[in-house]
Amino acid sequence: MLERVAVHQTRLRAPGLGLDAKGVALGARGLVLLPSLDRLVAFLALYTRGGAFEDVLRTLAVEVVRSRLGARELTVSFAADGCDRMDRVAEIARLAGGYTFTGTSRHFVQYRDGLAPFGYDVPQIFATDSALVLYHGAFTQAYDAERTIDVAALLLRLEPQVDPSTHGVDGPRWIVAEEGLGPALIHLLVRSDVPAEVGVAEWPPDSAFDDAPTRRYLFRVPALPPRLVPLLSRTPGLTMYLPAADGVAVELGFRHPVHLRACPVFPADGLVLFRGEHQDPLVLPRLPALGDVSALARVALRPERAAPLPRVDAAGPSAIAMRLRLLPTTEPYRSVTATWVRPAELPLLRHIAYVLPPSSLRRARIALTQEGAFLHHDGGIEGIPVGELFRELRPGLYVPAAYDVAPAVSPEVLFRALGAPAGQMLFLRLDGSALGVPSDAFVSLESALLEGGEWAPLEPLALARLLELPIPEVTLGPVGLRPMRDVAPAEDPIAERGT
Amino acid sequence: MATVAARAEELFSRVIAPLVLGGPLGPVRPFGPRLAAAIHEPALADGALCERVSAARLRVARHLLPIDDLPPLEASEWALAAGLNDLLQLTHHELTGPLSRGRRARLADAIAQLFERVPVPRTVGEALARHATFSRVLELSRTDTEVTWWTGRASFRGQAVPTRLLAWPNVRQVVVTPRHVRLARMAEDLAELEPARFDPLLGALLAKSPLTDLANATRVTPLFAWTASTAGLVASPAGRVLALRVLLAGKASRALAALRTATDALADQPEPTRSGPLALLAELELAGRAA
Repeated sequence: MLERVAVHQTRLRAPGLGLDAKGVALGARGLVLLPSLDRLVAFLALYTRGGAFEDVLRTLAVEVVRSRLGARELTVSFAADGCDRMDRVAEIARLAGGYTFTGTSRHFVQYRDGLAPFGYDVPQIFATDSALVLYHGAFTQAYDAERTIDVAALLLRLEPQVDPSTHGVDGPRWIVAEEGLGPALIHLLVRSDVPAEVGVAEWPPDSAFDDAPTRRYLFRVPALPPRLVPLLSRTPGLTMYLPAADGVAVELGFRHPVHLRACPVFPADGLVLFRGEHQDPLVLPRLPALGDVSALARVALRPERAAPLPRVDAAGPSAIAMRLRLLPTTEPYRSVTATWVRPAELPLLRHIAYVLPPSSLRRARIALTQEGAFLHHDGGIEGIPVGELFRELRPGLYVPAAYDVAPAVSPEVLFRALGAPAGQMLFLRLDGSALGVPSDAFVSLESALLEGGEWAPLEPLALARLLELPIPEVTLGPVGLRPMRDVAPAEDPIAERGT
Repeated sequence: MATVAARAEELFSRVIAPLVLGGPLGPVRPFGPRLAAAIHEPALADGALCERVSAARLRVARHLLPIDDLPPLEASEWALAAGLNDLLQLTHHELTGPLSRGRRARLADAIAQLFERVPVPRTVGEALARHATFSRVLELSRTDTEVTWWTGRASFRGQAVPTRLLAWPNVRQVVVTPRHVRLARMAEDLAELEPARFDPLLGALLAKSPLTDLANATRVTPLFAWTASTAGLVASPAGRVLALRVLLAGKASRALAALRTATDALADQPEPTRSGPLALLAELELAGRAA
């Protein structure tokens, strides 16, 4: 039986339990006890639908615990971080069929509810060696930890659910094509003037008897024309995926049970493709090099002719060629996702890094070059107010913010005019020239801050060896003219003279 | 008195301070027993040097006993320092000449007389204070240098080699061979001063500082022997504790052998004289086994 905490109560018996500013009994961690795995999935699904799970994820621990009677249950523990978070967790846990507790290390007491708005305290500590003791109004139970469940591994094991509504969603797509269909799809996209990037991904072979890895073509299509959707979604060998978050996509027609955008457990520089119909997900630890499909378009050569080709005046086409210029624009900022921090501004970047929020540090990516540092943030670089800001014309092509290109050619034409280099991010400068930064040179900003920082070696100061004294060394000088003039026997009152 | 004060000042700055702090020690004109006995709490001009010497003496004493203060140099320590100065001058090769061959023997007599007049420590604290001042006496060394060149050679005892002899070292094939000589062997190369005359004087100096005598019990020359001061010190429990600490700070096994040899020589002495050394030997053996 638990005791309700009263108003202005100051002492609590449960170890690790304290009173917050509102007077609510609260420990350092919160814990949700769930009876089964499907309840855990329901809890995660409900929580991620309503809000971001990112802040909870940092301190999250999911464990399978076993009671003395052998019953296995699941616990989700996390940093309590105040009543607001705990109240929301408690509501969702109640909906998912779980119980919410709070505590610090081993002893967790039932979190507050409508009966006890200031929480609960225990009348007596349950004496046990178990790793976990839960005090609830209806029971007091001790548990031993059996194993830990990795959230990312759990999400990978969850099968997507059928969701026909995703067919009508616009936006970027990932398309995975079997090796034989890749060139044909490239040709189709080029012929249909659909901008896309393509790469070849490799997976280990499914069987040990295969002598080559499994290769598939991976397409990233920013916007797929509706007329192509039926063809690409029904053709055997082609699978279309809808991005669900950074580095995660779910097959079209399916939906992951957990809202993956609110639960960023997969690295953003890799790719996880969830497939429907009981197929295992495709996991790429690192995205393959992607290049514009136009670079792989089919080429046709004219037959060689014996007679020399008629001379074409080279000055003709160049007569209308014009230099690219950047002109100021009055349009509002949009898609400002990159910044160029010149070497002189790097110290300022270091200062600003101290006050950047954790989400910016994790999601921003940085490439260090001789010309300075280039930062990229998918969600917008405005949170890092240093350097020259760039907006994204198309993937891999950036112009300074508040500037537009002249002549006003389309970004695809401009990208092709610059050679459409694969794996390069092109930054146009104000004079029209461009800088190319390899895409794989971008690393997480938080990693760069920790790993790339310079350090100065310090020489340890030698402690003064106060106790070490030099050897006393006798040096003999001249004895003088009358060295024995002070020497006289004590009994002899007359000192020696003239010796 | 002004002469005594001036002599005390130079004795302190050139002998006592280097003896305690280390560095070059230049013996001054011999004192003799009368002048040595006249030095008593002189006023020293160099206050900073006094503080450094006091701190160094206290540091030596703290190796044996956790004390915070040591009394200033007493008259007996001044006399012993003067005797040490005279002992060093006794080894000076320029002390005697063709017309003054008797100087060395007279100075040796005066030194013996001086040490005889210095009383043994009356308390354990006094023995500790003397040890704090003279603990490094056997560390005293002199650098003798032999210089050879293509046409000759020259030797210098405790004196700097003239730079003219070191000029053009390659052309003249100059070879400089330094040799460090400890206090106990400083008189070995003097024809008119035999070791049999010098060693007892050094032993007499050590006997006046019993803790220093015990701390250097493993020395080769002069060999350790129980004296009235060392036997008197170890007769008291407190003195025995200090003696044990000073022995365990060095090589206890060798010290035990030296003490056992010296104690065997006390076989014909009365029991009260032998009781202190025997008790120290027993405690030292126990401490050696425990270690």
